[in-house]
Amino acid sequence: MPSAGAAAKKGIFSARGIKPSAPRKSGGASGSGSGIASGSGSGSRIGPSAKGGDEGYLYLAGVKDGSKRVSEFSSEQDVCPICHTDRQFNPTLRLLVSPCYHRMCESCIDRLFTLGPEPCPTCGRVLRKANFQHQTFEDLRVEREVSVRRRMAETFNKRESDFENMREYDDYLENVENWTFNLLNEIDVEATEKAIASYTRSNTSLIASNKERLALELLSQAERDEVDKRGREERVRMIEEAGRFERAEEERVKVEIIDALGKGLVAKAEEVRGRHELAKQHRAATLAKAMPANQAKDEAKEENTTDPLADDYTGPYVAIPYNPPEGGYRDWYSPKEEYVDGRSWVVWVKEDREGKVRGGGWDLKTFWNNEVEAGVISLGLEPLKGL
Amino acid sequence: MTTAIISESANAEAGPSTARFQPGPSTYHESSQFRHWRYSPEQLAQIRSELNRKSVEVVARNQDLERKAQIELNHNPTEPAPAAAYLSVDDELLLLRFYCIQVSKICRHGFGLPEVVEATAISYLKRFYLKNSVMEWHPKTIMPTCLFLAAKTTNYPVLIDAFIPKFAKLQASDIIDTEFLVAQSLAFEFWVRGADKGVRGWFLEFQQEQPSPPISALQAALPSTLLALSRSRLTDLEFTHTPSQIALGCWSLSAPSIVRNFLDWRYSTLPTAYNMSQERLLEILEDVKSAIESVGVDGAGEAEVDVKGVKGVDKRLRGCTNPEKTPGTALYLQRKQRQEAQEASLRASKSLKANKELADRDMVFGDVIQTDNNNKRKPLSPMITIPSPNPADKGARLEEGGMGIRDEAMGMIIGGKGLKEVGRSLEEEE
Repeated sequence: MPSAGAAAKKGIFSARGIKPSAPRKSGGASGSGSGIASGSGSGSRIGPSAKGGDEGYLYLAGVKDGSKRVSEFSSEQDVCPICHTDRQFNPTLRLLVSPCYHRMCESCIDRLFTLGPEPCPTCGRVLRKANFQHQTFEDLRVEREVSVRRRMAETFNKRESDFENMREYDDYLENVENWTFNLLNEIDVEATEKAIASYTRSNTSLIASNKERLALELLSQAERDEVDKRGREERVRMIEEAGRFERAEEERVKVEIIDALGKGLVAKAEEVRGRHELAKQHRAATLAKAMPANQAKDEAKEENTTDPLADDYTGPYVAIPYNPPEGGYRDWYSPKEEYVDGRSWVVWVKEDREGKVRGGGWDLKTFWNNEVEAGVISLGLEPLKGL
Repeated sequence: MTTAIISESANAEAGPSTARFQPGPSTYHESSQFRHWRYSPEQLAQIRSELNRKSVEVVARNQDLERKAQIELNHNPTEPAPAAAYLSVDDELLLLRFYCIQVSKICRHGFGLPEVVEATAISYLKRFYLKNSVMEWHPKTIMPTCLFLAAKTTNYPVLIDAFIPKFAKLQASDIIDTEFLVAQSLAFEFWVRGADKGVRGWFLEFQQEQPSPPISALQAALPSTLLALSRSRLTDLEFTHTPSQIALGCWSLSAPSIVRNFLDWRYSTLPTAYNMSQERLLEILEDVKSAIESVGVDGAGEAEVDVKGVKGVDKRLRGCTNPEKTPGTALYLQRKQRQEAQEASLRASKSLKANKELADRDMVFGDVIQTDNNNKRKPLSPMITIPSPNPADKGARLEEGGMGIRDEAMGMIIGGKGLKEVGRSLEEEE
């Protein structure tokens, strides 16, 4: 598909002056809380995992913004399309948006949906009271586009580094944009949903890991440390619990074995022990699998993979410690444990009654070794001749 | 005072300190001493003769200039030195050797500084005069500077207030002024690997498990070895040979049998030792020995120098130092004046520029728009016109119309031709 088509599809955003962004970024831009929320596990009402997912619709209106920079939209001209109450009549009029993107006032919602699910007065779709959301954008089409894009960004969170070359990444982005366009304009919705579902199925683990990575990136260092600490505590707790369980099990098996031996059933005792050993191994493996990974650390490690010794290293300055060359000169002498050395301070150091010298890590043997090395190191170097 | 002049001349000598580090087979191969300060005797001779020739040229030219400057400043011109009076390479070396001995004396008897300071200072002095000539920089100021610098770089710093009184007629400014020049000439390569460590190392190495380590003979030979070591510092050995060769050479001078026995034993147990055959090593040691022996000694075995000859050289040097570098000469004064004038003009232009920038910053909407026909501007307020000496000039005609006020006392007309004239181009009056 020519890329000009994809660009034209971004029309709604461009016309409104909202900058269209790549799917992977729009998630972070529209709902800064979404990534963190899924990472830390606190309840979120945004995205496909939000409640109402079983209702047959896939996205919800209303931007939940932790930073409070995005506020609910309301205007003086608000009129409820159902009961025609306007703001003049009711100054506290609040219009909410249904999943089918129709607006109605709170009192209408109360009136219509108190007794359970009812069809939408405008389009007839079955709605529940809890599924109404506040309106963020003036234009409901924008509202819808943001929701769709947010949902797409949740699934299509691959990064450039996940692809082998730029071409593949561009193809992927174009694909995503096409599907988004289809969903927005309700073209081939069924086929598109199928394609998205199949993509989600085949990339479950990658999507999950990218989501966690994004969540970590959004955290500040302090928060990252906090996550790390919590993970560590969780691990310690799990290990302790496993240890307690293991000890109790050990006790139980011991009693069982002694019982069996008391009854003279050696074979049974052996069997119990064997079973216990197997179960123990199995439990250890399960525990290792269930242990939450040390994510923050892994992240830090990944950043520092560039070798400061490499020629193309562009990272921060790293002082590279000097290593003396492994020349053959070390074979030309063998340091002795003890030398006769009449220098007054060497005599003093040898005694070193108060341990003053060695306190700082200074070593007479190293010193002697350096001197002998200085004597032999360049002995066989041919002097320069001529001009 | 002389720093500004110094930096001009020393730039050319700034050495290869920017050379990239290259790993070598041993730490010595990686040192700046091996990479930048190792010469053959022929190379040394060439460098010195070249330097001597150049500095004679420079001195001769500057002495000409000095004469002209003296005439300019209305002094009695001095006659330039005759060609024979300039120092030869040998003269320079003689003077250098004298000052090297002075370093030893000052270190040992003046300050009681460790040997490493002494060795480093002498190396600095010798390296400095591979890049500069005695005729340009007199060693009587360079020597204390080298010592002062060496004390700092070898971690035995001496306070300058304690340092100065040990020298006659030396001021703190002499050292501070030349310190950077010396550092620059050394290419900022301050670590010198002296032979003293090697001498001590061989003292230990000779105690190796040979058939019978000659401990008592070693201890007996140590003092004369150290004397040989200090004699070796007065030679060019440090440029031509490695520190370990010099060290072993010192030992073979004071205790030849110990060295021979040890080498026999070493080569019998490890024929590939030192990457050099025993015969070749002994040849090199002979070279080192003869070089050390070429330095004359006095009765106490200490190195000696022909003081009379040094005095003669110093006397001649007075006639042929570079006047540019000597405070008090006319050329020096002239250069200084010129330099100060230059600096003053530089400062003035700088402050002018700064003022302009300040004004620019004040003007939020940028500089005043310059138009070449300034007289076409429209006056926005009643004019104040100063009468011109020529009564026919238009300035005097203003009072006839409008609301101009003639101020008799001040002899001027205040005000213009009335408010209806305001904003009209001055040219329209014509």
